[in-house]
Amino acid sequence: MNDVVLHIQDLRVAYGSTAVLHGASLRVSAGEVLGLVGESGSGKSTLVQGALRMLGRPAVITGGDVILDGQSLFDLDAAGLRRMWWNTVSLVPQNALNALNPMLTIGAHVDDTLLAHGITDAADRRRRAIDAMALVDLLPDTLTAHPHMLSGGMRQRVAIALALLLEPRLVVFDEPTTALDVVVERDILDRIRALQAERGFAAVFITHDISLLLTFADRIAVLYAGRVVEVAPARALGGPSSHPYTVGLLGALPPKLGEDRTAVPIAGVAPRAGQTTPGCAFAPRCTHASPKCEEPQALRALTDHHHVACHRVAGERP
Amino acid sequence: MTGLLPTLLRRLGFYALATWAALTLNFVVPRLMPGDPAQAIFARFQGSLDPAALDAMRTAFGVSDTPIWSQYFQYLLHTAQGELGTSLVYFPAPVTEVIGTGLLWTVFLAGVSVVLAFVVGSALGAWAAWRRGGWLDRIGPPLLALIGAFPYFWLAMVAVWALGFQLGWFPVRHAYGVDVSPGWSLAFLVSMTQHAVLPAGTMVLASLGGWLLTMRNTMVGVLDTDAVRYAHIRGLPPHRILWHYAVRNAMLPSLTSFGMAIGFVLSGALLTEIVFGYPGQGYLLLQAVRGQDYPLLQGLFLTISLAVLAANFGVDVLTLALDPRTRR
Amino acid sequence: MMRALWENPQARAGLVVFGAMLAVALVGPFLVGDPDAFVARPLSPPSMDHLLGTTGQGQDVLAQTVVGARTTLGLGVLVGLLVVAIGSVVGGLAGYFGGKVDELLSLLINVSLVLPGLPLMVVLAAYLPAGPGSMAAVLVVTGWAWNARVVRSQVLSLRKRDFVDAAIVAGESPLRVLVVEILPNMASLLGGAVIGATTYAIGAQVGLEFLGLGDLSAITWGTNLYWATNDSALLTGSWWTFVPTGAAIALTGFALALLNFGLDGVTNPALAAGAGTGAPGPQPTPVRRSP
Repeated sequence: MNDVVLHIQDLRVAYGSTAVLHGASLRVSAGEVLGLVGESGSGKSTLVQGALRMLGRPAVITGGDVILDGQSLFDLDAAGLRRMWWNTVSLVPQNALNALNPMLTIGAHVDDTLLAHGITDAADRRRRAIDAMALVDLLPDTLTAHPHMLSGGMRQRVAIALALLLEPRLVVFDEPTTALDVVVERDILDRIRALQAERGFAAVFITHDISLLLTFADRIAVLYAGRVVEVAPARALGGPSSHPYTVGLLGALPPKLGEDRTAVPIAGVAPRAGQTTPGCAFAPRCTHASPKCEEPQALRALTDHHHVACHRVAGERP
Repeated sequence: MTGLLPTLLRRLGFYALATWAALTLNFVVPRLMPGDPAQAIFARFQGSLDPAALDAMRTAFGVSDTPIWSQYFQYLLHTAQGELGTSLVYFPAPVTEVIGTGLLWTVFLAGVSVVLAFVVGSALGAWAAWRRGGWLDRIGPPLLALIGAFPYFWLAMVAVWALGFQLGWFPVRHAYGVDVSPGWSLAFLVSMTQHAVLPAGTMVLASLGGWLLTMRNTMVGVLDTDAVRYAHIRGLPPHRILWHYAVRNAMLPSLTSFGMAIGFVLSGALLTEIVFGYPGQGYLLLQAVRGQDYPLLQGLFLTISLAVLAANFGVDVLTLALDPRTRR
Repeated sequence: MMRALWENPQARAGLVVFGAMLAVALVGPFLVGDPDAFVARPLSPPSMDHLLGTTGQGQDVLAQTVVGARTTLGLGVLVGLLVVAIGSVVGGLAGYFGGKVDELLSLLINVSLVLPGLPLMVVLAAYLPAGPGSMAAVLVVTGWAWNARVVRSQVLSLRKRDFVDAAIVAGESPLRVLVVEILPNMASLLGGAVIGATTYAIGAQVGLEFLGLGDLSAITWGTNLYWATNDSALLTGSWWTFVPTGAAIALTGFALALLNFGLDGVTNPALAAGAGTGAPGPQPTPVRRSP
């Protein structure tokens, strides 16, 4: 068993008085690519960013525990978290245009980050900045540009370069391609894959588009209504021992060229944020629902790598 | 900077139009007044003014029989030449001279007050937002709102009574003492400052709350943006985030309000000047209104309008210059 | 939303105090004596007979303060509503129709904004015949443009939203779209606008009357202060002719400001007062385990 870089246990997060995560669990091992998929509003960003305590007001963590590289993040104060952030785990945000300061150049962003982590020699910083740009195939003069001068794809590459500056063990990619067109998206995905293979960092890749993950991720976690309902190797997803929601999700994908299949949407609507039931949240929409579904469904292990939160699929195994 | 020039020219065009509107308004308003200012002026001054000044007033107030369009152009011409007529209340001083003296005092008093109120208020507001939920954030806005809710002149008069009459700490009227004469002497400057404390102080106090709240709300918004959170996650130290990410981004909208406030400096000190007998534009305005001094009234309105327009234009230029996003 | 406002402590305080002032304005005049009557020696300090003393003309200060509330608040609220109404119509039309209509109306709005209000107010007030109608006209003419600009930009951005396009495609008339689809989404903005406009109306009114430019025969808070200074309140130390009205104005303004803070806090929870610990700058997500 590889060593676990990030272990999220039963995480509960609320925005103000509205609970959005109702006990989600996740484990990321060193060097693996974990995909996290769910609909908009299912709590994907909240799960990972909340676990890392990166969310701003009005988010508040109401339960659970998170261990990063052996250290419990909930015991740390602001200074301690700042030591973990960017050194051990970094984030590539969803929309780089919003995350970059419009008043500062790209070079200033890189410089700021390096200075903040104790790299005091100016020449050293300069060298690292140029290397960072080269890593994502950007010219050194990108450093003198302001964010609005760059294209969406270029900004996202800058964000990736920033995330890898201090060679963290884990990088979280929060919907890195959602704001980009398909062609640029392909390019970004290829780069991420290449960098991950070359550098060997663990990656959590958050998206609402499961098809992106099927050829890219080692394991995929499926989030529904504030809970993780399945974690499985990409190949095992959608098979007979998969969660009904996952099966529905895959069935709702538009068919690829030549495929003999029609897309079937899942009947019903997902519960709104804040609505929670003790039992399975998917039961109202599930064709196999039974009274037992009203009991809490824990993530049960089918194999070492495949966990499902469904009593029908997992049987009575603990 | 290809995007800069067309934008500037468009703004300039707008301000040219607004200037024209101000001048036209200035031309139209006296003609709408009940009573006959023209007759009053004419009767009073016939024979005692030089032809140019008398002409200017004729056209400004519609005494002549020439068609209104020709009067209008004459008025514009006279205004461009700086021929604004002669004051009735301060006869025989020409309007330009009367306004000239008032202008300096108003700019001094209101200018100092606005700058102080903006700087102190914004600094307090930024600090309140930075230390969200701290005592400044909880007490500042309501306390200053209460103080600002009192009519300005009421606060001024309380200050006059308490600090001026009762305690005798500061003089209560005029811009400088009777024992000094205007000039660059130290005695004059000291007297000028002493006389400015109460009027400027009350103005600053009354308007502090507004600046604090505006800056606080803007800063709260900025501190919640992705850019600030991203900087926080990247480990940037708090002081770096405060200055380069928060304040820098909150300044632009603040500066716009500041610019507008500067523009209204010339008109906003009116109540202060009246309570303290401070001989500025506002004081003159009231004298002109009460004394039916139409030439002076028109002249004041003109200078105030032009000042506001100039200040607004200045702010537009500054905003364009400071925001990198406008350069492409 | 009204319930949310009530639950917000600042908004609740503001509503209660303002409501109290309105109640005094409505009912008070029936409970106090004739404010115009000569009741005792001029400039007598507060006593058991006259709780707030008498003015320089021997009139009861309490009666004058209470009766003055009626005109000042009445006109203030009316002008506040008018200013927002006119501003919303102009701004709404500009934002909704866009194009040439917007260009023309925007020009009108911007020019009105850039012309100095206070001098214009003084001049207009000086030359129009005294009375509430003129006062209302002066305040409205100088105050409508600000709201128009704010409403315009809000309507502009709402106009682009999908639900508006859907309504238009479904064949709803522009008027219906404006009133039924767009306006309800602007409730909090308009609420704040009315509060601001009323505050402005009361303040400007009082200022003009203090300068002697209002209807001097009427009894309003502004004229009370005008007469107080005219009768040398300060020099004689007769603070009671000056303080009650000032305090009443301040209380009203403060109540409206609190209501505004509360409204801000409700519509934009990020701005709500008291949300924070006083720690400097951005903080990590707090951990607060529920018991």
